[in-house]
Amino acid sequence: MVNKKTVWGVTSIALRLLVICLTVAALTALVYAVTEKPIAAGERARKEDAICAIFTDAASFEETDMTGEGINAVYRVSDAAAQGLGWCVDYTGNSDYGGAVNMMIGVGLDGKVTGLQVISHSETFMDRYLDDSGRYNGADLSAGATMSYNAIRDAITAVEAMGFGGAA
Amino acid sequence: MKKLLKQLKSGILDNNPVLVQLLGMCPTLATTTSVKNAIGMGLAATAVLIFSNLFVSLLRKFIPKQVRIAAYIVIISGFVTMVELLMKAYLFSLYESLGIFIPLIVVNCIILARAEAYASKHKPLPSVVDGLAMGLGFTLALFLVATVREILGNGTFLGFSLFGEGYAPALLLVMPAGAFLTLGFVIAAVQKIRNVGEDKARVEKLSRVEENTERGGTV
Repeated sequence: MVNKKTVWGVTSIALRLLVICLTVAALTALVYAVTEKPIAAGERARKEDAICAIFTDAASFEETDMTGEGINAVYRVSDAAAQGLGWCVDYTGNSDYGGAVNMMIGVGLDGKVTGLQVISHSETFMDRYLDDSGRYNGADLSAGATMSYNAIRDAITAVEAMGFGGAA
Repeated sequence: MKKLLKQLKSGILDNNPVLVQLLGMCPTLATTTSVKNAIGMGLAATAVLIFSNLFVSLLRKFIPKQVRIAAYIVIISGFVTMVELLMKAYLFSLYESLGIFIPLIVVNCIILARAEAYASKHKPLPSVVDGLAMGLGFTLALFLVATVREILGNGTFLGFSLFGEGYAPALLLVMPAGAFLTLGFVIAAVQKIRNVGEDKARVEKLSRVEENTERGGTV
């Protein structure tokens, strides 16, 4: 029933499909290699903008060694006179609905969250909690109305629980 | 050359993928809340259409008939990924506005339909022109719907406020229900224009026939 011709026929189809997949994959990898640097540079610029938006006097920031769940980096922010202003936590939270929400959360010297800037997200409802520049607009978080909400609220809770405070 | 121009006109007007063929309605409804997003989406889809049509046409003798749909999807999703990466690198704000609808270009019916109906059966150059024509037609449809929705539903055009502070926008139009309504009316308007044109041509042809038969001669 299964003769040589059928076996070769099916194998040929599979091989040709494989060649097509490999060619497309190679082209995609090429484009990825070309765009990797600009994408990373863009990410860094957006994080810098976020830090400056939260701490308007920020003149410099440096990465600290703090780590924790969901934390990508913690920056100590200083003003022009090298006085500590607080910290910025680069935090990636999850909304169960749409996935990762990358935020920059500013923490003042008292350990309380002073501002929150959303750097990237794929949420459809996030916009109602943010103003034009992506800054969290202080909307009431007490009722978990949508998943996007929860992502912001959980992030603020998590960061305040980390116990920042004292001199920066 | 004349043939190629005819192809372009057909894709943009007579055989418009959204307004006549009724394909690709999903992104038309979803990305037309602003003219800027609409044009961005249209051009991104056009880029994918041109390259996927080109690739499918170049490989048309090589792609096995039995798995051709799978092959088209691999090719289309590859090019969508490339477009997405390029947008993320160089057009980030548009990338953010369009969001999840960029990867959804993969399942835009227009691209798969043209690969199957045209690119797999024609040479590369006509296929590229077809991709361009259909893409521009798609962009035109998006632009028309988005213009209505943004001007009336938001009081702006390309972000510029048109009516000043006192304008109370028709919010229904920027919501999904408004999208359906606007698209419906735009399609109706286009069909009306097409029908009027067709009827005129038909009447003209008939009157020519009448003249010829009156003279008692042959048609």
